[in-house]
Amino acid sequence: MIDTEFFHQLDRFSFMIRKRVSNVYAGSRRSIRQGKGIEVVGYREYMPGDDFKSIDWRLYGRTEKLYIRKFEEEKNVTTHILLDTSKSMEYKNKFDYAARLAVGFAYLVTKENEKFSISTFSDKIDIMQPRRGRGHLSYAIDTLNNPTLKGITKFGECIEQYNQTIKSRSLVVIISDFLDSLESIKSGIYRIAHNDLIVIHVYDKTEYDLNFEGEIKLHDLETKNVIKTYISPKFKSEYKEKLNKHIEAIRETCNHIGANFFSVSTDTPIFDVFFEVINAKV
Amino acid sequence: MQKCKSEIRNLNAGDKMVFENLYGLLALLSIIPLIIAYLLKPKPRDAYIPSLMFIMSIEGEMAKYKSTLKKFVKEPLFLIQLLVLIFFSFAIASPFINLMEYVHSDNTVIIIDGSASMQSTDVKPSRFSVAIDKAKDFISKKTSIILAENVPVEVLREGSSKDAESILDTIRPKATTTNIGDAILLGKEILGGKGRIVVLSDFANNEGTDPIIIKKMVAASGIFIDFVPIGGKGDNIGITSINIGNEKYGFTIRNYMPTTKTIKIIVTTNGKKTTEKEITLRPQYSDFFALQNIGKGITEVSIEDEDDLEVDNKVFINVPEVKTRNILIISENKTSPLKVAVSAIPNTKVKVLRTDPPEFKNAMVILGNIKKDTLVTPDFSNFKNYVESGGNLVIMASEDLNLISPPLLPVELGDISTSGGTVKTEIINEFTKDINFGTVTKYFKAKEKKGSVVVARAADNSPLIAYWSIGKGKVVYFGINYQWSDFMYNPSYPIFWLQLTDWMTGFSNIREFNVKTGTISLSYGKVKTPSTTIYANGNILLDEVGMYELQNKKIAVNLVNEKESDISAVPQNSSDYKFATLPLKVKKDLWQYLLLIAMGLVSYELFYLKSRGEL
Repeated sequence: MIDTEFFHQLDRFSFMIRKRVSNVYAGSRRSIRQGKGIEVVGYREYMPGDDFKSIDWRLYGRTEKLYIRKFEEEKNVTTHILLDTSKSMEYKNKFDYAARLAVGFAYLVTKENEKFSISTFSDKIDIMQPRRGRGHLSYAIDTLNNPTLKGITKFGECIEQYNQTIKSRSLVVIISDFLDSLESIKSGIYRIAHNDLIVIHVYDKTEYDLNFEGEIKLHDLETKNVIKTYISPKFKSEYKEKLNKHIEAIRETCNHIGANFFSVSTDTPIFDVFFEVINAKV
Repeated sequence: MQKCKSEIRNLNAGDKMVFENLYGLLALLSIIPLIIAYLLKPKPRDAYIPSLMFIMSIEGEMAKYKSTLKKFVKEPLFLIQLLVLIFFSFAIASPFINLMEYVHSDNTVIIIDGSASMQSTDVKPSRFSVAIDKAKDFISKKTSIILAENVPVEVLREGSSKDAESILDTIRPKATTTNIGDAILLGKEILGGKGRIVVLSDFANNEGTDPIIIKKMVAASGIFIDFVPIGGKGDNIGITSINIGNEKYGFTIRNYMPTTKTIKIIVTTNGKKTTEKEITLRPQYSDFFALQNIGKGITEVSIEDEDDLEVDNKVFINVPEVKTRNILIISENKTSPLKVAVSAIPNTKVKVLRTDPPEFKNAMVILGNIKKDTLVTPDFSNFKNYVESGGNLVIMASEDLNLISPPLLPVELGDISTSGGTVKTEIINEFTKDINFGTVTKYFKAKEKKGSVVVARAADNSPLIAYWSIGKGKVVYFGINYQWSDFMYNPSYPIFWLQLTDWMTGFSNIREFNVKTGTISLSYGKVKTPSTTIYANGNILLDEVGMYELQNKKIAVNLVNEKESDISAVPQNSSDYKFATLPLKVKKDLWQYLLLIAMGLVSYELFYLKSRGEL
C-alpha cells in the first residue's frame, strides 16, 4: 500500500507550518496563546475568578495591589487522525486512498516529532493512543495494511466518544466518505469543533456519476438494503443533486466552525491533496 | 324551449356494447408479441453501491405519487403499451351502444299545417294560431320552417331563433289542402341526416302518402320526428263542390254538424245581389244548389251561417268573355268531315279556301287535302312568316304531301305505306286525352325531325301525329287522313279537333278561369291575390280563396274540398299522433372515445419517458 517513494515525495511538505508552538521539543515556533507555563509575559490586576496561585505576592508587597502573572502557554500539539473504516469505504479503492492520506499526515507529524494517532471508526471507534516516533508510525501502517472494513457509519457517536479522549486543543484530521445522516455528521463536527479541524471527504468518481442505466437492483454496501429501480438520466441528475446537497451541507458546517473541508475524488493525485490541505489557511 | 334543450341522459345503463366490425378485434393479437417481448426482457442486474441512502431518499419522495400504484404496476411502460394496443384494437372494431336519449334539437325543422282546416276556430283563436304558439316552443339554434300546403312551402331555412320567431309571427294559414308527407321529406332534406322534425297539424285531411308511413321512414334514418296534434271537434257547413256546365252551375253544400241547420244562400253577380234562398240541411247531409245563366263577370255565392270554418262559406265563379276564333282550311274539297268537325267547335268561324292566300289573319290554318299544284307559294314562305309570328298550322296527310314536302313539317315524309294498323298514342296530352284514333289503312312512312314531339305512331313507328315550335307558333303534322282511316267515324273525332284547336289557339276554357286552391299557375310580373299584391317570377301557388289577377286574367279560386271542410274529425288518437318527449334509442359510437384514450396514453408514455430524461 505504502512504499518508501511515497514518503520521499512527502518530504517535500512541512505540516508544522500550520502550528505556532514554543515547546522545546516542538521546535522554535511560539504559541499564540497564553496560559500555564514558565515564561512570564506580563501582569494584570487580579479579578475574582482568577487562579489564586497565580498572584504575584512579591509585587503585592511592593504595591499593595493584587496582580497576577501572565505566562505564555506551553504548546505540545497532538494530531488526531480519524479514518473511516465502515463498509462503504470498501467501494473501489476508497479506503486505500483514505488510508494513504492518513499515513501521509502521520508521517508529516512524525517528521516534526509530534504525537499522532490514527483511530478508525465505523459504527464504533477503535482509539489509538497518540504517540510520537517512527515506531509508532510503523505500527500504524501495519494496522492499516490489514484493515477490517465493516459496519455502518455512526459518525456522530464515534466522534463524541473520541472527543472525550482529547485532553488539550489538538489538530484533528477526519477522513471519511461521510455516508451517514447529515444530523449525525453535523453533531460530530460540532462536538470536535474546539480543535483545529481538517475534514476530508473521499469519494469515488463512479459513485458520484452513478454509472448505471435502466432497470437495476441496487444493494447498499453498509446496510445491505436492496432497491429495484430504473436509472434514467433524470434519476441520475436527481441523485447527483442529493449528493451535492449533502456535501455542501457538510462544507457549510465546517465553514461555520472555521474548519477546513476538502472533497476529493480517488482519482485526484494524492500529493495534490496534501499540497492543498497544507496550504489552506486554518 | 325547455323540452328542446340538448339534454342527453343515459336512461338505460343496461344496454350492451356491440361491435360493428368484429374482425377489428383481431388487432388484439398484436398484444402477444408485446407480452413475449416483455417476458424475454433480461432481469435487472445487481449492483453494489455505498450511497444507496440517496437513492432511497429519491425513491421515498416518488413513493408519495406511486406507492399504491407501484404495488400493482411493476412495469408502467408495459402496462401503457398494452393498454394502447387494446384501446386501438377496440377502436378498430367500432364498438357502439344503444342509449336512450332525449332528442336533441340543435337543428330543427318545424312543419306547420297551412291547410284550410287550420283556419278553424274550434280552438281559440284558431287552430293555426295555436300551432304557431306551440311551434315557438320548438325553436332551436338552427330552425327551418315549412308551411305544409298541398305542396310544401319553405318559409325559413336554417335561420336563427330570432329569425324563426319573427317568421312565425308573420305567416298566415292558407286555403289549400295539405301534404304532410312531402313537407316531412323536404324537412329531412334540409336537415341532411341529423336533427329534429316537429309537425304541427290537425291531421284532418292529407294528400299524398300517409304521414305515419313517412314518419316511420324518416325516423328510421336517424331523424327525430314528433307529431303535435292541434284542434278539437269543429262545427261546419260549407260549399264542398262546384260543377261548371254549359251555362249551368251546380254547388254542393254540406252540413257537418250533428243537428239540422237552415242556412241562407246569397248570390251576387258583379256586386249586385241576384238570388237569395234558404235551404235546410240535415245533419251530415249534402244538398245541391244550381244557378243558370248567371251572366258574364264575377259571381259570388255565399252561405250565411255561424260555424268554425269561414273559408268554405263562399265561392267565386268567373264567367269570362269569349272571343270568336277564325279557322282557315286550305283544301281541294269544299266540304269534308274535317270542316264539319271544326265547324262544330263553339265560338269558331271556319273558312275553306282552295289555295293559300298571300298572308294569314287566322287563329289557326289547316292544310287539308291538297295536291301538288294547290299552293301558290310552294316554298311555304307565307306559312313560315305566319307561324314564326305566332300562327298555328296543322298539316294533314294527303296524297301529294310527300311530293310537296313542306319544310315546316316536323317529320321527314317517305313513301305511302299500305300495311295499315292501329294508331298507337304515345303521349297523352291536352289534345290526345280520351281520344281513340282507331286504325289506318294507309299512311306516310315518316321519320321525326330533331326537336319535334311525336304524339302518335303507326305500327312501324312512323310518326302519325307530331308537332314542334317554330318562332312563336306551332306546327302539327296530322298523318291520319280521313280517307285513309276510320277515325272520322269515331265519336272522338270532333272532340280531338276541339281539343287540338283549344290547345293550339290557347283558347281558355271557363274551367281555366275557375280553379281550386292549390293550383300552380305560371305568371310573371304583378299578381293581385285576394289579400295582397305580389310580383311573380314563374310559378305561383294559388292558395287563397277569392279572385286572383294574373297578367290581366282574372281567376276565381275556391277551396271546394269535402274532406278539407270536415273539421269534425278529432285528431288521430293513436300513439303515432301523440306528442311526447319520450327518449329514443340512439346508436352511440364509442370508437372516437377509445381512440382518444389511446392517444392520451401514447402522450402519457411520451411524458413518462421525458420525465425519466430518456427523450
